[in-house]
Formats: sequence, C-alpha cells, structure tokens
Amino acid sequence: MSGAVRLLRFPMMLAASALGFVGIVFGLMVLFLHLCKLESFGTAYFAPVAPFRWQDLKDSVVRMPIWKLNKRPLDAHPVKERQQSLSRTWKKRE
Amino acid sequence: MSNPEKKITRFQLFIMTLQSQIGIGVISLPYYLFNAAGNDAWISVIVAGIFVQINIVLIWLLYRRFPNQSIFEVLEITVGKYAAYCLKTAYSMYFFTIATLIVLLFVRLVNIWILPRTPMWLVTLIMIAVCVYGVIDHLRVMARFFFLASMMLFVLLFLIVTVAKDINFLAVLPIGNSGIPAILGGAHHAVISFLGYEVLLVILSKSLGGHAGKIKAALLANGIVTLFYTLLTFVSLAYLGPAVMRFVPEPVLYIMKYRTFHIIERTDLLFFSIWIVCVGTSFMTFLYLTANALTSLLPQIRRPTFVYVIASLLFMLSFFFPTDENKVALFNKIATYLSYLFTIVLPGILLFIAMARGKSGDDPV
Repeated sequence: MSGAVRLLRFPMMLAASALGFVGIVFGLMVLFLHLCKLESFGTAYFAPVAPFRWQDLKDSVVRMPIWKLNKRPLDAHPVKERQQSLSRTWKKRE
Repeated sequence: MSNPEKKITRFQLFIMTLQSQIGIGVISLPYYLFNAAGNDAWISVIVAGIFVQINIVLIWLLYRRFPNQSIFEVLEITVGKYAAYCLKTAYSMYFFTIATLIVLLFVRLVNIWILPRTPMWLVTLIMIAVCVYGVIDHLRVMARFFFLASMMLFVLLFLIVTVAKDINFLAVLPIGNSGIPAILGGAHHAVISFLGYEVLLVILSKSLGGHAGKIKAALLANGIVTLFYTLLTFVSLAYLGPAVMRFVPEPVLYIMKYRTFHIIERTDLLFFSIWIVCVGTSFMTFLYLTANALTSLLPQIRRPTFVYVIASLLFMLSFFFPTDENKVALFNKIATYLSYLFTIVLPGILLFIAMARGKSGDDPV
C-alpha cells in the first residue's frame, strides 16, 4: 500500500496547489468514492466500516476479547454465522 | 433495467436521508431565517422540522400501499400511462431544478468566500465530475460513501459546539417576540434547507427491513437534521446578536472566522471544506433522483448514460448562473414552491387516487 500512497500523493499535491483546501477535499472525495466502489469477491473494500455494521467492528481496529468473537463477521459471507467451539475455554459438558 | 439494483440496509437508509438533507442550508440558513422571523428563527426551524416529519409520514403511507414500487412506478399504476409520462417528466425537471440550485448556491459561496478569482464554471465542473463519479455506480456505493461523509458531521458539530461558551443567551430572549405569522414565514424559508427527504420517494422501496423500521429510520434522520439546524441557528443568533445578524449572509462562517484554535488559524476554511462534502452528498442524491426519473421514462437507456447527459447539461447551464442576489432569491422561492407541489401535493393526490380506485402494489401496471 505504501507504493499506492506514494503515487496518490502527486495528484493530491497538484489539487492542493491549484485549489487549496477545496482541492484537497475534492481529491479525497474522489479517492474515498473509488475505495467505496471497490469490491473483491462481493465484499466491499471498506467492509465493516462503509457498509457499516457495529458488530463486525469487533475485529477490525481493536481486537475484542476472544469470548466476543463467537460470531463471524458478515462481510466475508460465512456459511455458518457462529464459529466452531472455542478451544481456549474449559470443555463444557454437553 | 437489465440487472435489478441491490438493496440498501435500514441503517444506510437512515444515513442517506440524513446526508441528503444536511447540505446547502448549513451556511446561510440562520441569515434567511433571521430576516423572516427575527430572533425566533430557531423556533421556525423546529416548526419546519415537524412539518417535514408529517410529510415523511405521508410519503411512507404511499410507500406502504406500494411496498415494491418507487414513486415512478406508482405513477403508472395510479394515473395511467399517459399522465404518468407527463408527471415523470415533471419530476425529473423538478429534481434537476433542485440539483441546479444546489450547485448554484455552492459555487456562488465558493466564489465569494474562498476562490474569488477562479471562474465559476471551473468549480462547477470539478463538483459535477466528482459527484458523477459517485452516482454512475449502484446505490450501495453512494450509501457507503454517505456513511463516511457523515463522520464529517461530527467535526462540524464539534466546531459549532466549541463556540457555545461565548454565546449570549440574552440575544434570543423575548421568545415569541415576532409572533406566530413571522415564525411560520420563517419555516417557509427553512424548507429549502430541509430538501433531500424526497429521496425517500425512491429509496424506501429499495431498502431492506419492515415498514415500521423504515419510518423510524427516516423520522430519526429528519429529527437529527432538525436538531442540528436548530443548534446552528440558535448558536449563530446568540453569538452574533440581532444587530449583527442583519448584515452577515454567512453567519456560521463569520463565527468560525473569529474562532481560532492553537494550530488552526482560519477555522472558517476548515468548516467550509468539510461542508463541501455535505453539499456533494446532497448533490449526488439529486443527480441520482433525476437519472432515476429519466430511466423510468425511457427504460431502454441505462442510468449511467442519463447521469452523463444530466451532468453535461448542468455544466452548460453553469455558464448562465446568475450572480445577482435577487435572481438567486427568486430561484430559491420557485424551488420552495415546486418542492411543496412535488413532495406534498402530488404524493397526497396519488395516495388519494390509489385509495379511491382501490389500487395497491399488487395490481399490474
């Protein structure tokens, strides 16, 4: 991603020098619109944020405790929403 | 349409309504309202907000009768093919008018406030090009972007709240001083800032979830917009006072200009830049609505084609944008009356006809 950021810097600089703050805002708008358009295998690029889903943020920026992670995030289109039983707890009697 | 559009979630419906409504009004709303309603301008905002809530309920009632059809398909079912043809044309003209108004007000303000020597058509071209890029894809892309843009509202809110410690409550004090007719007149002027909830005419049928959930999302969005505008009007009124308010057409920017932080000298430019994103989202909505109306008119042409056509038409119009204050005010007035016709009167009539003729969403076109 550092290569992409390095290259994106130049159109941004052009926009900023031509139109100032307005240019930066328009440049960022184009960039974010493009990122919103990206989809890989049916999952949005900005997945837990831009089609916003509060429950799926548990694993994206800050990792929640492991007992919070029992459900899989929906952006990966899981077949089963619940995860397999956790290996890190005491085995419960069924 | 060849491929059916993907639906948006209920939260995205909420965000789209919110972002479509907050936009062009943020900067100049307090000024126009003050001229109409004096120091009771903030009450006018609340009145206008309640009025819009009622309007949203009306749109929802129409939607509940036709859960799978947007307004354009409803037109075909209720009034027949030929009348629907005329009304669809009228709707597309209306949406186009509002889109033009948004761009006009935006470009005018950029011209006055930031880039006085840049030609207006250049700023228009950039704005239109950026927004076209967002609209040519499907609705979900817009909804995703609108969510990211709504993060910016927190910054706007923060900037407004920071000046709150300097306000003078005495400036608003004889509450109800200007009388009920003036307050209602102010509400009439405020309607133009609330425009954007027309998007519900189309996207209510394009979102997931139950009927009750959708009305809740829409009403909540409009409630937040009302609160935001009320806060804005109240703060600028109480900060500047009635003596100054009469002379500043952009009160919010003037407040920001004299509010400096340690590392930000011109807060007004920061505010303005963030506001551009909000205007962009409103403009995208109306571009989308216009293209949608035209697509329902001529189904054999794809929507992106229409977006390009509308955008180039708008760009050509930008060479004839009036800079005269009176002409802009006249345009504002026309747009307000048109919005009454197209968001209250026509859906109301359609609902009445549908009930009288016993038509509902299950009937064939």
